[in-house]
Amino acid sequence: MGAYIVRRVLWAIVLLLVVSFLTFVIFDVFPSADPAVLRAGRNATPSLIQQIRVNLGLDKPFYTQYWLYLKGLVTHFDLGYSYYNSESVRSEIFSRLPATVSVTVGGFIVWMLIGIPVGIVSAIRPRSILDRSLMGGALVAISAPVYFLGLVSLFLFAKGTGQLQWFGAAGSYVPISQNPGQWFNSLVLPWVTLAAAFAAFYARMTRGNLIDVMGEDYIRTARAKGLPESRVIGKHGLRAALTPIVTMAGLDVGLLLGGAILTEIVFNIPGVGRYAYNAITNSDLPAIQGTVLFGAFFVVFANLVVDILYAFLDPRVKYG
Amino acid sequence: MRRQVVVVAGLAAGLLAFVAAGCGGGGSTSGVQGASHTLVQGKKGGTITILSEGDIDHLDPGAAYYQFTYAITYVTQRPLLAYKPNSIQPVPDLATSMPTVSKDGKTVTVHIRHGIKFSPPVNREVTSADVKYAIERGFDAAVGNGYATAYFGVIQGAPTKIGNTVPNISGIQTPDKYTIVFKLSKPSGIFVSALQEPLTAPVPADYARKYDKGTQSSYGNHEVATGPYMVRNNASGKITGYTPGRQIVLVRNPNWNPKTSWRPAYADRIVFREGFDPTVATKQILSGQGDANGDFPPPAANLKQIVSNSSQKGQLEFTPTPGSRFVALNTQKPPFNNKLVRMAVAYVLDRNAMRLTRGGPIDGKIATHFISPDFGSHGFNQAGGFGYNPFPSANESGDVAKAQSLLKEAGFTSGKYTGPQITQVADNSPPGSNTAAVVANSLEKIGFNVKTISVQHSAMYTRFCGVPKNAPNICPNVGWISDFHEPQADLDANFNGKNILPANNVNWSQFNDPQVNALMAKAEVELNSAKRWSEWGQVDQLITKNAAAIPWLWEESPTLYSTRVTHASELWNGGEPDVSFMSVK
Amino acid sequence: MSAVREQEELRREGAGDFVEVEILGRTPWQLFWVRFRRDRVALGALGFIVLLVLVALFAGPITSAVAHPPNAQYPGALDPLFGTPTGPSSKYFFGVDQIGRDVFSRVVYGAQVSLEVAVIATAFSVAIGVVLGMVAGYFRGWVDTVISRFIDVTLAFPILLLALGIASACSLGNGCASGLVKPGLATVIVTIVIINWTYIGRIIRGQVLSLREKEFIEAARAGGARSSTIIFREILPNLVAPIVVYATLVIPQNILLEAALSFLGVGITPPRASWGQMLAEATPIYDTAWWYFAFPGAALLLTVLAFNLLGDGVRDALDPRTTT
Repeated sequence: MGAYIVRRVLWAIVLLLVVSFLTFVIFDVFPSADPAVLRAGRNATPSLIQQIRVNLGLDKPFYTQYWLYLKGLVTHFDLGYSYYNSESVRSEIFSRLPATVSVTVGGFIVWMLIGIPVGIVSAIRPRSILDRSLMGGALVAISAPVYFLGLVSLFLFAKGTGQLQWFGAAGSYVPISQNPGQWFNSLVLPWVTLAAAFAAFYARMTRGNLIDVMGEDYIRTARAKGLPESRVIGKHGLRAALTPIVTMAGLDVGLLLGGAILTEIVFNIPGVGRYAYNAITNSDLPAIQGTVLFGAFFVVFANLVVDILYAFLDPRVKYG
Repeated sequence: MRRQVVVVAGLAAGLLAFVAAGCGGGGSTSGVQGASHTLVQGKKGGTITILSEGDIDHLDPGAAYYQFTYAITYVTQRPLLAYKPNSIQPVPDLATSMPTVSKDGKTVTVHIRHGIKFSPPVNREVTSADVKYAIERGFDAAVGNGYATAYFGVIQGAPTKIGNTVPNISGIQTPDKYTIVFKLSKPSGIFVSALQEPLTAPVPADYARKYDKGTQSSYGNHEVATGPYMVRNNASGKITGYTPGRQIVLVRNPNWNPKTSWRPAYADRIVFREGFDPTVATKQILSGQGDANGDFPPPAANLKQIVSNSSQKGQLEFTPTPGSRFVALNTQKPPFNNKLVRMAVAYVLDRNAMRLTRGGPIDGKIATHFISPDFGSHGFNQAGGFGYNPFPSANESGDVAKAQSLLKEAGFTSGKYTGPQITQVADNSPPGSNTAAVVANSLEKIGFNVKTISVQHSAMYTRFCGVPKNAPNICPNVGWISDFHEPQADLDANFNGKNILPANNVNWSQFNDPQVNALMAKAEVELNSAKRWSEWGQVDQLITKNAAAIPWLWEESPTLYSTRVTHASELWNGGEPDVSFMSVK
Repeated sequence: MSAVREQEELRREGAGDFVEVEILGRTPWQLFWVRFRRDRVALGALGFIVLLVLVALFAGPITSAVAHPPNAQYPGALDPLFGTPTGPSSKYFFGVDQIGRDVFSRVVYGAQVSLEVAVIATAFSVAIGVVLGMVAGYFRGWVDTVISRFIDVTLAFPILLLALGIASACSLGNGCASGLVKPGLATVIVTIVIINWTYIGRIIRGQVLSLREKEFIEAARAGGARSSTIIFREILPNLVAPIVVYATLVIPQNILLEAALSFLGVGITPPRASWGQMLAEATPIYDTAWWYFAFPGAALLLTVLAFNLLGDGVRDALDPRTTT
């Protein structure tokens, strides 16, 4: 078991290294704008641009640049400085992390609280009208793009610009320490939008898993033993059905912590995803590197945790 | 990037009446067209909040270059000269009086005030050596000033090659603590005007040198102030009031002496809140949660609602932006190396529809040449004013017939272009993408097959239009904001043949006309203002007639104020709110 | 969507164990059709998709007959004082956009883009994923290791960022791969394929790993058949069900992915109409020009919904034990 964990951790580290290298290749070899020119300003002389290019290290061959970047990353956890505004990428990401966490964790709670009960209710009475309408609604939620749902919800409910002015408008986010009421109000629409598709998906998964599990032999045995239906479902059915769901939720949260880009853009939330998008727009290589690595870290970490958990639950996995 | 300034064109009687009522006479300058606003007496105290969409570029006065950033720079730093909000004429700020120029034009002398002190933690008196250091550090790549060579390269000893150290410029002399003498290598008609640039705001060498070392100056994170306000810092000088992309907090500078300055500085605190959606920010200003817009115009639909609302329309002020928007045609490759074909394009462009993409008449006047109306007698009148329009059409919607006859003259006997496909590189987001689409549409009317390459704004400039090797046939989304109201700052960079560079080129048309170059060289050393402005007026006409670039908009910026504050729009800076003149009512 | 989720779905669908023999002697495909025909919802979805395909194919005649060309600009339809677009009217059914183009025509033409992406991107990513998955699963050894590690690395990237990166790198000027991949539709398809093949690759690899142990494969090998014959003659037919299931899952997602890339500005190039791009342009003016986000968004929603319903129906018909 220990050997397995060590192997997986080592592999995770290798993955992150490869990700950072590929990011460098994609964004440094094919940059969309010229950072030295952007930095120099519109009236600048070629001499100034060239010097800035040297200062940013852009004149060195790209593997040298990458090596310097890696050294800084590993020894000081230094993610470099933004080409755009010279701020430390690390501090920019961490200052935006609370917003992304607020969106992700809140959304997660909403989608689990809605999705799983909906799935359970549907599974208990398969093919009933309730089941069909819930699953139908779920399918609609999955089919709508996040930004479309976002625009519709802003159009209907946003304060100041919507038809019914109930919730905070785009860009009204404030940190929870500053004003908890407004923090909450500004996140309601993003949570619901983000959660819609996930809740629908998890509802379907829960329903499907629970129906499968309910057909298993040990459920029949439990019923035969005379246990009340609620215990059958509650104690035996749910535990088996929900385990894979919970692990999947972990993976999704990991993915989103890297920055729910589309949600953050539509609702103008100053999170990591928005920062990543701006970085790509500005060809701000250090910021791009930082955010991609950051996102990849969560994905890889979540996968690692899930794999190790599965190894505990199902010993066959270790040898795959 | 730069915020745009908007003047109502007065096509609708209602709008005209609104402009006449809203912008009263109030003190101003030679011949500026109807855009000066009265300044109101205020009362001390309170907090003013400015909302913006994006961030400033640099706090460091040696590097700052955005119109929006100047709203902070000029109230925290004191350059030699500065502007009152409703004027385009610089007046002494750090200087005691306007600089004196020697007869041969090669010596410029400035005296600075006594007793001006830097803010904490430096606290000492400002001397001429601090101004010398401030200008010299503009030639250090670690600071990265974008206009140092353009305006100050004429000083004797100014380096031609930029390195990573602060050079000692022999032409900046400090005979005593309060006098600066500039020795120029040749006379310059605009050097005195250039002294209003924030590069001349004093920087204490003893304090700043350690931050200017290396490849990237961090003085901006530790800067001190000389103006009525300062960016909040801690006891050791580190800036605490700036959170990039989110907020900038200005507090009073305890060492500022109001008797030495014409700035009233009513408010106690000014907060710049960034990262707003323009629609949301506009609503916040209307409801009083914000006091003015910093770097975005209220969206067209909101402007529509405000202007039609009698109680709200008084909250809007329109200010012209110096400069213009234009479409640059690449004169170095076919088909636009042919002047007749260029003139055909100038005739066919539907400038009215192009202006609609930016919000219609409320966004400004359709440009008929380059120097904008707010220059007044500083070159606009001399270029023929509104009357000079070499490529007129009904409603400025384009004249297809005239364009076709020009194409026939150029050899396209059918009156339509029959050559290969042409390319344009455009912004990939509105309004630039929309303007480019209208340009393509106009060209298609006379037979052009236009391929539009859509890229990020920054890529458009730094990879395509700014690199002659990669430049397409048309760059439809370019424009220029003049740094100050001298035509040289408006026309030289874009149309002087010597300014065609292999990278970061802003002479997008690669225009290189010997007659025009010679006239520009003459005007650059002309010290007599009247003669100089007349020469630049001629230059403007020559460039316009050539149709290497086709101007289409003299933009006017709307500044929206909340009802809780008085108004003070910077005429010299595209309508940015002057927070040192605004007050809580 | 993570690969684990894909695997979960397929495992649940039990699509790998499809070797039934029906008493009435019908082939599995006849069975499939019988069950599919009975599913009214799926038939309805199929009908909508057929309608959409027709609309896309005949976009030209349709818009010429009742509306305007999709790229024609009508500045007259804009407010002359403020340039703001006007809404639905008898002349412009869905209103106009910010430069006066007919939104109805653009929504109709947008169907072409969405369907092209759906079909082409899915086809390529499935083809690549299946081939590489089969090769990895059958040959194992270092081939498997290389392919699997490649898949791992691709899946470790935050997907949208990877897509953004590739797409913006190729959106410049002449595109990438020395001009082979031009900006616009080609870039979007290539981006989607690069990301997508990994999911099905992993799934197919898993299927092949278990299939290769079965007796009929051993028999074929004992009989002296070459590897390629075994892979394509014996293994591939057994993978048809999971491939079909996967394709039905992924087509609607690819439509959404193209829309997302266009929304982020690195997808379809103007002036070509794409629903995602129209949504991007509608975002800043959503409160004053509701028609500009409502109609393209509804079109997107209905199309994706139809494909999802169709996918559900196909999966149900393939294996009715698991009801969705």
